[in-house]
Amino acid sequence: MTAAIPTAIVNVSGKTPEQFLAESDQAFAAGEYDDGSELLFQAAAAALSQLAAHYGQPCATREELRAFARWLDEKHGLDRWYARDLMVALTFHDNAKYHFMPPDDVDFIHPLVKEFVATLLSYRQKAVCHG
Amino acid sequence: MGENEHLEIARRLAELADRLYQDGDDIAEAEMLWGTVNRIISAIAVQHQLSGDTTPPRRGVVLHHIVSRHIVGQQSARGIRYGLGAASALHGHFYNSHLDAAGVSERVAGTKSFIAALLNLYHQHARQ
Repeated sequence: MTAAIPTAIVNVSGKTPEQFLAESDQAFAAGEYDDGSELLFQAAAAALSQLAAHYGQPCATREELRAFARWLDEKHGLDRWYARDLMVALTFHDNAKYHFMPPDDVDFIHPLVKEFVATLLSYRQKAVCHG
Repeated sequence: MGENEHLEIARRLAELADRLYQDGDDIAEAEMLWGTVNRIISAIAVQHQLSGDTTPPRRGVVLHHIVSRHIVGQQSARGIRYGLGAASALHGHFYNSHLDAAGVSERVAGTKSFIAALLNLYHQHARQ
């Protein structure tokens, strides 16, 4: 088991989720699965962080990301929709480091994580406009 | 190897996973669940004639077939992608011990739902 020390995993480069997403697409297109996976996770994490900032919640560590996703599910009366998709995005982050998923599997799961990011970006737009 | 042999091995691996869980061995349980998933996917591959006796099926090819041929609806397709993500993470945990207790628990639940969904897919197709 990993030690329960909260470690920031959200990139602090200042890039937007859209920038991470575009870079991820480029990396996958070039066959660079590790970079593409990590960048796609960072797109999801950055989109979640922006939403969290809007609602005044912390969102820099793995634990905080999970807590915020659960908070979104509760807020919308959903049965682990955000939490489940975040889990898959975190799996992309872990796979970029540990390499336990072959490219075929990454290709198969990839649309789900991209859809998650698109949903978060759409949600952010609505949240900023309507509070 | 035939469908029934794969399913029988899957059943035994799932039972073993339960016993390992009761013994508190979440790392070995994780790999047994991963094995269960793979054996059911192998049975589905044989059922859909996606692999010969000597050619091991590739998960991505089998699951892509199920999704692209609209054998499942869009929401179920989403569930299958999620399930493979959960099961893959358990497989990675077996080698790297990178998940905390909450992370393992979340993925075990997701993988068990995935196993149930895959079995349901197999039996639905077998009845047709």
